[in-house]
Amino acid sequence: MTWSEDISRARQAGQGQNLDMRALLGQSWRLFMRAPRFFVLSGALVLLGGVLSCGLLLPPLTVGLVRSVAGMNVGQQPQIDSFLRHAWRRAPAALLVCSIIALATALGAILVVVPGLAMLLLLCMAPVVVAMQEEDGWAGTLDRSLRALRLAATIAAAHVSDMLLLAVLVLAVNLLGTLVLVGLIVSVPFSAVIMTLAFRSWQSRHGE
Amino acid sequence: MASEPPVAQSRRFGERWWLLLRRPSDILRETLAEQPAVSRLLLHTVVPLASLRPATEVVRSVVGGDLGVGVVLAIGSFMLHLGLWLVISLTLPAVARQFSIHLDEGKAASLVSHAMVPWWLASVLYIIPESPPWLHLWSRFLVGLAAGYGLYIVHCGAACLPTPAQERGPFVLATAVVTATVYALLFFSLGLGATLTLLLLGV
Repeated sequence: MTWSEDISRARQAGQGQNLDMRALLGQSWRLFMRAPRFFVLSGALVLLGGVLSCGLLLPPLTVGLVRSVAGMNVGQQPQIDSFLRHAWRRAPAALLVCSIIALATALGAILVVVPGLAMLLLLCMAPVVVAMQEEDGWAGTLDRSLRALRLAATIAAAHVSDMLLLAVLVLAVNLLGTLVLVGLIVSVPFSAVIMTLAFRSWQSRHGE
Repeated sequence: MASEPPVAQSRRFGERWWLLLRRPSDILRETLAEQPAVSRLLLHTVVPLASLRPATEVVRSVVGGDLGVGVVLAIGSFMLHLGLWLVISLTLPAVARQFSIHLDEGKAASLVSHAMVPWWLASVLYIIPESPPWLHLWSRFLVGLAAGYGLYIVHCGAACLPTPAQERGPFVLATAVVTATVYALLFFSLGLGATLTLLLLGV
């Protein structure tokens, strides 16, 4: 199936079922409040690890956080050691996917910035897809990464309006977080929860 | 003879925009009732009006003797205006859905185009230089007022659509928040891009 056929199928599957942002925010906040200490601690680890490693640890730690959120959604109790274990096992795919996204964004940005932002929007769900994949480790990293990028691009292209609004919402949450001195250690994990639940909502309609 | 609707009467460029500023509800009622062609909107409204701000950058740079800087800033300004129009047009249907308002992509593009007209027209005020400061601040304040009038146009547009009355205010507020967030992102990104370009060019 070509990518455009994928998008048409995704559009038809999601027709009439758009994201309700108020319900998504409410659901995300309830999930966040089920384990606030875990989220604040994991948010601090993501930020600290990202800064100390000059961004190198940011993709795997973020993917580990998303995986923990996905586990919570099916009743699992989040733990810091399982969060770190998920980050470690999915690190190869996370790093490859984020490198491709960074390269695509940079190349698009050369054409007066806006195409770069469009590429970022198109592919920003890919780390969430990597976190949701059952396979992990080094074997098949390239194949898993390309599948994740394709699925992320399909979802974004099939739900442009919802995706844009979701991106604006996540950006606004993190802008609020930067206004408060340590707000990012709350806003970053909260954003991860929002993105995970939004992806789950789209995934359940597309049967992926 | 039945009177023609105001849109049909205002064929001259400029007269339509004057009517929009004076009677936005009348213009929007007719515009949103038809299925607008986005390409026509882009060519006849968005591109010409969004070019006003870049034109002021070029004029200022010619007067100041720094054409290279002016061209870079003009390209950045144009992409900012065009990018903002595009992103808000694509996002507005999702925003509208949150308030039980049905707004398809074509009508969203039309509404956003009309709402941005006051801001685009007021952007000629950017030709006013930084000195004296009071005149500079006053001109920017007027541009801000014009942008605010655009939100009133969005409110008039919402009234022309089948919208629950109690949802119009929250819809306009949400549109304002989304627009401000997107503007901040584009302004920062394009500003950074322009700064890096000027550094690379050694200007």
